[in-house]
Formats: sequence, C-alpha cells, structure tokens
Amino acid sequence: MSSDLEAELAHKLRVAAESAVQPAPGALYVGAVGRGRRIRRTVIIKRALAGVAVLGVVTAVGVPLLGGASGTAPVGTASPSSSKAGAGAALIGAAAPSGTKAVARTPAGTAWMPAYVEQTLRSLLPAGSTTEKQAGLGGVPFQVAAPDVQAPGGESLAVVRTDLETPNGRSTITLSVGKYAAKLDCPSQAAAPHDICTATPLDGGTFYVDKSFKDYTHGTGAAIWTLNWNGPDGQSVYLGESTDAPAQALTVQQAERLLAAPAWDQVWKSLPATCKFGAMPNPHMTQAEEETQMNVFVCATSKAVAMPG
Amino acid sequence: MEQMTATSTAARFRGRVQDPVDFQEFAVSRGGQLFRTAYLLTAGDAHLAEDLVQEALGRMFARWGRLSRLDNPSGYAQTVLANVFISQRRKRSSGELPTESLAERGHGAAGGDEDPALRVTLLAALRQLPPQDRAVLVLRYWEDRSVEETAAALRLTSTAVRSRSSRALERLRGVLGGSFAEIAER
Repeated sequence: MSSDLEAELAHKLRVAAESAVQPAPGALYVGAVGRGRRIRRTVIIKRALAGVAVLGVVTAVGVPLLGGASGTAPVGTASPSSSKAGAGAALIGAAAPSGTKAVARTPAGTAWMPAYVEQTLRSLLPAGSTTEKQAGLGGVPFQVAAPDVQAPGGESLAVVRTDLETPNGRSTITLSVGKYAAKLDCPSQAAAPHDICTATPLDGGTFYVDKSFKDYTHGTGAAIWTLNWNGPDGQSVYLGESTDAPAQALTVQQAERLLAAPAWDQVWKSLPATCKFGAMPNPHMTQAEEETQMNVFVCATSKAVAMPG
Repeated sequence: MEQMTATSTAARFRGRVQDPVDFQEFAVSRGGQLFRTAYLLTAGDAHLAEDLVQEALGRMFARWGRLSRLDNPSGYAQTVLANVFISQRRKRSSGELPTESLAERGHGAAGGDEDPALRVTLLAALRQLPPQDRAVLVLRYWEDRSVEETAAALRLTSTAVRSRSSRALERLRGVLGGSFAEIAER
C-alpha cells in the first residue's frame, strides 16, 4: 500500500469524521457523569461480592491467625494522640449510645485483618442493628472483600458490604477503606439537579456527603447516600447507603460517626503497600472477570508496562 | 454540617481540591473530538458513537481524581475510547448489522465538499472490518498515531499492528474495489 494511498485514506477518514452530526455539547458530559457515578458504585459492589469467597477463608484462617487479639475484649474507640482520633472521638463520644457495642481490639502488626474489619463495623453499628440478608434489600449477607489493586496508581481498597436493619430503617451499606485517594467531587447541578451535597474540611482532609436518588435526573426512586473522607495521607474511607424503604438504616449523623471512627486508621495501615510501579491490566484476566470488573488490575511489573498516571 | 446547593458546593469544593483539569471542562472541550473518533470506530453510527463516548468519559469520570493529573488526559481518553469500543464490539459481535441510514447521517454535515456517496461507501466498508482492525486504521490514519503508539493503545505488539493495518487496508481495497481507486485518484 503506497503512502499516497494511505494519505488519501487519512484525508477521507477526516472528511467522514467531520461529516458526523455532533450531539449537544452538554449531552456527552451529563451522560458521562451519570455512567461514571454508576461505575463507581457498581465496581465497589461487585468487588464486595468477592468477599463471599474471602469470608469463607476468613472463617477458616483469619480468626485463628488473629487469635485472642480478635476476641471480644472491649477497648477504647480512639487513640487520643492521633489528629483524626480527636474529631472522631468527639463525634463518637457525642453520640455514643448506651447500647453501642464495644469496638474490637486493635490488633498489632500490619497484616490484612478481615476479622478485625468485620468486628469494627459491627461494633460501630447502632444498638438493635441486624445484618441478616434481606430479600427486600440487596439480598447481601455480611461480606468482607480482600484488598484489590486500583488503577492507575496501584493502591489498595478493601470493602465491606451488608444488608442492614436498624430501628431507624433498612439499607444496603457498602463501606470501603483504601489507599485510594478518590477525590469525590460534588456533582454539578446540571448533572444531578436533585442531589444535596456538602463538602467540609475535617482533620486535614475533606468530608463529603451526598444524597442522591436512583433516578438522579428526576430525584425519584431509592435514596442513595454517599459519604467519603479523604485524609491528608491518602486515606479514603467511604460509606454508601441505598434503600427503597421509607427511611435508611443509618441516619446521616450515625453514618458520619461510623465513617469518622479512628478505628479505620488501623485498617488503612493494614492494607498492602501501593504497587511500586502502579497498576497494569491483569494479563490473565478471564472474560468473566472482565465482565464483573473483578481482578481487572494487578501490580505492574515495571514502569514501562504501568498504566499512565 | 453546612448545607449547600450542589452548584455552590461544587464551586467551593473545586477551590480546595487541586484538580488540574475540571472534568466538565474536559468533557465539553474534548467531547467533540472523541465523538468524531467514535463515529469512525462505529462506522458512521451516530447513536452508537454517542453511547461509546459517554461510556469512555464515564469510566474516566469514575477515576477522575487521578486521571485529571495526567499530562495528556485527551490521549488517554482516546485510548479508553478505543478499548471500550473493542470490548463492546466483542460482546455484541453478532448484533452488528449494516444499516441503510448512513447516507442520511451525511446530509447537512460539515464535510459537504466531498462526494457523499464515497463517504457512505467508505463508512460501509469500515463496518465490514473486524473491530480491532477498524480501531487500528482509525488510530493510525485518523488520529495519526505511530505504529508503536497504536500498539500501546490497543495492547498489541507493533508487529500485530502492522499486520492488522496491512490486512485492513487490503480488505478495504477489496471491499471498495473501484471506489478505493477513485479515492486514491481524488
């Protein structure tokens, strides 16, 4: 094929591309934001589903490994020396209901500790809470998913998900702790006109609360709460709550207390180190993994093969 | 906690977060170019092209905190677009059929100085290429990427890009026959 012919083909392609009738300028943006927000939620949920298998391993291996340290001995909710503990303790202390369960003991070491994660979350739930799978909700039993590699930076993210019923209401909740400094921005009014969003400084980071709806363009359907704290050192603690019930399981105040608990610092510290070269697509990913967005990324073996960014 | 509207919150939040590029600005400014690429990848299906661009931008939005710091987010977006296209075509390979509406899409468009019939013929010929071959041609000859850049974007070897490009051009010539010669002559 001559270069003249290639040049002519390039020209014809350009003419054909320029002939396309463009969509409205804002349509692509609005559509993209809607899909992006669904992707964020879906990825977290699907990764959490992997916790079903992990939970089995946890039961068989994790608890014995943790030994007595993972037992039920009550400990304090916060380390007063940490800056986040100050705010977190204040939040917890202000609302610490008499029926609130004791927080699990913080185990030593930095090994991944799913049992501690489970105990921590359970201990921070309001009194009278149940985490049984409910057909009327997501039908999600209590699941702890192992940390997964994020792209492009190669950070780790661990996820807990469960159906939750409290005296206040019912929801499916997703909590993630990660070295995944996803900067959640409040959506623009054009993208989500019915969202109520706040972003406030907290402990050197940003605390974000957004109330949205299943049909976010019309503000109808199940309420979806998204809370996230991004810390100054790359910490990210995220809580999502969705429900079709008249009231969600956790009030916003309860959700804020849960999210701000300093106990999550220990979980954050236990996550695997960020990949040295960042992430790369999993070369052995199966079709099923591609469709479910599971194990999509692994640590890059060199800078040359790492994803940009 | 102070309650704010989404608009005022977004403005204030952006002021605190050091995002080099605002996603809305990026999507609006680059959406047109992405759409044109998608239009070629989908061989002239404007609806599929719009869907493709929204999906690609949506995937970027989901990780915008990181991606906004890339030196060249536009190039990354084109790469994401091509890979989303190949992934979607793989899943829908049996559902892709030629349509009779290509000529209509060409009417009233910017490229009015060229023969619409040739444009339609070219798009129809592109449609008959396998998705990965089509993506190779679009990246090489529309985006003007080198063999190596195309290989990196599509996760292929340079050799594979060369062979696919050669094969696609041959097939294009075979499908277009005299039309392709006519293209070359104009």
